[in-house]
Parts: sequence; structure tokens; C-alpha cells
Amino acid sequence: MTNKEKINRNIGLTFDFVKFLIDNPEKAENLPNDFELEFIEKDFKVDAELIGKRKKLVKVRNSFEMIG
Amino acid sequence: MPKSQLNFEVGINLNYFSYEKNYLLHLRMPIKEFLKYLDNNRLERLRIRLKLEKGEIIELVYQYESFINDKWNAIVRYDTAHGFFHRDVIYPNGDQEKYSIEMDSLKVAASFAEQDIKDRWEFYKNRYIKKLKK
Repeated sequence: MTNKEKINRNIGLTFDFVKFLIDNPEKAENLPNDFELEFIEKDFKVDAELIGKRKKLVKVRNSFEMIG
Repeated sequence: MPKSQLNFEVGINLNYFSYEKNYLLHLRMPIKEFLKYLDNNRLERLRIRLKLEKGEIIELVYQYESFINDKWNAIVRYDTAHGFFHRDVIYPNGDQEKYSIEMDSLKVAASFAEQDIKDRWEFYKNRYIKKLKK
């Protein structure tokens, strides 16, 4: 994947995530006030160390799953 | 390579977010803000802010930022504040070109912003850099 393709993919995923929050505002209420969004693949094993203080991990499936 | 920084670290153009955020916090409006780095080198990012009221998202702001000349610069912003959707194209001297866009829902506005950023982020960035050199 080229850099440009990666950027476009991340833009798409980010807006998909925002649309998910629009449809599920209760999920938005539970988010931290400031954080960095990180998408992980659906088969990715989540290590406890990866769940950072200001990072929000989101698994990319057909829908989004809040991890930490 | 810039480090991940969630605070409003540099750049006059980022101040809009800082001022408005402080104002909203003063009003005790629940707001959530996050960054998504777009590339491997962490030189391009989106900043998203959601404003919540009574369990609903009522406003959204999207801002594309690029790391140029050792600082983060806001390049283009899409804002649904006060019930109307608009795009601000931002220039290095602080000038902004404002475009109002008719949208009937937050989701339609999100789709518009998404497509515009996908299609034109490089164009906006290159134009910003050209203006920086003048």
C-alpha cells in the first residue's frame, strides 16, 4: 500500500468511525475527552501495554468495537 | 518525525480549536476530541471534535493538519456549528476562505467532508506551502 493509499484508507476509516458515533452517541459519551485514535485489524491480539492512557484502540470489522 | 502530541502545541492556526474548546469547557459542554494520524511518518493528521448535548452529537468539527516547517499547521476545517455547515480553507497568514454548504444532517456533512479531504488534501496542502514561500 502506498503512502497515499494509506492516507485515503485512514481518512475513510476515520469518517466511518465518526458516522458510527453519530448513530451510537452513547459510545461517544464514554470516550475520553482527548485521545488518539488507532485502528487495529480484527485478528490483532490486543496487548495490555498497547492500551495507552490517551489512545483509543478500535477494531475494524463490519462495525466498530471499542477496545480500550 | 513529530511526536504524538494531543495538546495544542504549535501554530497560530490551531488556536481556533484551543479558544473554542476552552469556551465550551467553560460552559460545561461535553466535548470529545481526538487525533488520527494518517500516514506512517505521522506528518498528516485529522483532528475531530464532537460536541454532545442530552446524549446526542450536536456539532462536529473536522480539521486536516499537516506538519510543515517543524510545526503543525491547520490546512482546512469543516464545521457544523450553529446548524450550518461550512468549510474554512486556511492560509499561513491566518486568512480563511469560508464556504457555506447546504447539508441536512451530520452524516451527510460527514460524507461531504470525507470526500473533499480524500480528493483535495494534497491540493490544499500544496497551495498552503506555495503561500508560505511567497
